[in-house]
Amino acid sequence: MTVFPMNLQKKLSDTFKTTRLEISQKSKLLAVRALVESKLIVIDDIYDTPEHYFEGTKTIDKEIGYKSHSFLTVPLIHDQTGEAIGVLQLINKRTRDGFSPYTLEDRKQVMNLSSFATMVILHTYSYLQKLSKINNNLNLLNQDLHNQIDEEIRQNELKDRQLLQQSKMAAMGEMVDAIAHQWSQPLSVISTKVADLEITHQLDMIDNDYVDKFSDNLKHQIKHMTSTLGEFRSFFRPNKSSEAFLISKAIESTLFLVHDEFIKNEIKTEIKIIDEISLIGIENEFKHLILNVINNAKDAFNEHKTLNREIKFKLYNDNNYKVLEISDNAGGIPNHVIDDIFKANVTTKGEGKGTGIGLYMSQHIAQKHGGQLSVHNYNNGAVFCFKTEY
Amino acid sequence: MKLEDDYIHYYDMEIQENSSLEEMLESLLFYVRSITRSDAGTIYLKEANTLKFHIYQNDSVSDESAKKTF
Repeated sequence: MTVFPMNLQKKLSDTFKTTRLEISQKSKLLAVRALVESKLIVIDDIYDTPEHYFEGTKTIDKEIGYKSHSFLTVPLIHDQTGEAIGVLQLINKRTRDGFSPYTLEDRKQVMNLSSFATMVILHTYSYLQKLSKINNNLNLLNQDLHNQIDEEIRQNELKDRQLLQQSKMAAMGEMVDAIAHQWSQPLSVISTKVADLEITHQLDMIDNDYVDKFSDNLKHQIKHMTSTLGEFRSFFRPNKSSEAFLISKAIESTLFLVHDEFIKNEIKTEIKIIDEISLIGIENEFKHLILNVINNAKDAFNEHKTLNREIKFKLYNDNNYKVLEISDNAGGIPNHVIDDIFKANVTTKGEGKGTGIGLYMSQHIAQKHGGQLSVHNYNNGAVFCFKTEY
Repeated sequence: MKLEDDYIHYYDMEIQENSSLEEMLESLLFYVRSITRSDAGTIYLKEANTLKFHIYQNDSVSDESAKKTF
């Protein structure tokens, strides 16, 4: 078998791709004649034959530096239908010394091959058509799938948005609850003070000292409310940057906020620093954890009418943990709620008093600071424990 | 062995993987040329009222002259 350079054949083929011969009874082109007459035509030497036009071939010859002599042109005819689908042309039969005309044997062989070639071509055609049909169907299916996926994604996004909206609403509700919780104290102080002002005024006992004290107290309460509001706003804005702070400082500034309250409620506080503990996080948030715990203790004191009220803070390192203990002597937490105390909307207080959000938020804050808040009863009170690993 | 079988054998070996019409025609022409010891060959296929040129093969024309010409 002759090996021909495939690349060359491709290039040649591409160059001639645009050639189209018109099929007409009058055409004298060899390929067209073979098709129109449905017969095999053999030419011994095209440069020696006047009957057919070979201008095309001669032009190609010239361009590629070749000389076509002998031709065998066979129409490709379908066996059953008799339809001619094309023409196959063979050029220059090779011999040992050059080229020779095609022989009778060649005719027979090519005649045999032509119907087979026709079959192969038609088969490939229909195969390709089927393939393109399958491809089309696949494309349609793909499109369908794409649409379905798009729809699913759209639905999911909608669901996500709804969930996000819901959680935003829940968080907002929590914030409002928490602010209400934090504000109930200063508001009651203010209303008490206002009532006191009226009575003192009626008694005509308002002097400079009284006004100073009154305004200081009110300013203090308002400052507390403002800072609460600010801190809650920042609590729900997570982009506030974390930094290192000392728990003892957070305790001190929290106690400052409740100082008046605690004096009024006769609550003593004690801070025992065995080891200073520093945390990475947002100090304001951590203050809320403390505030929530001690406010709960205060409410419990009042509910139980406890004598010798005491809240103790203790900071120490225990094995691999940093620990903050906040203990009170307010009678402890009832067993039926102690397991649920950090869940949202669980409260030990009477109807309308607790919101059940304080400790839930405290736990949330503890976790944000890489720790865990736990509670147990000890002696005559509750011990809240914030524990974080080194 | 009949020629058709011979071609089918060749077709199986060489062409099976090629799905395009052109590849198939290339193999067909190459095969017929080798049977008849033809130096060159072409295939036209009927398309509407024309014969459309599809391929041209020529063993004598080297890569070099082809590059020069086209």
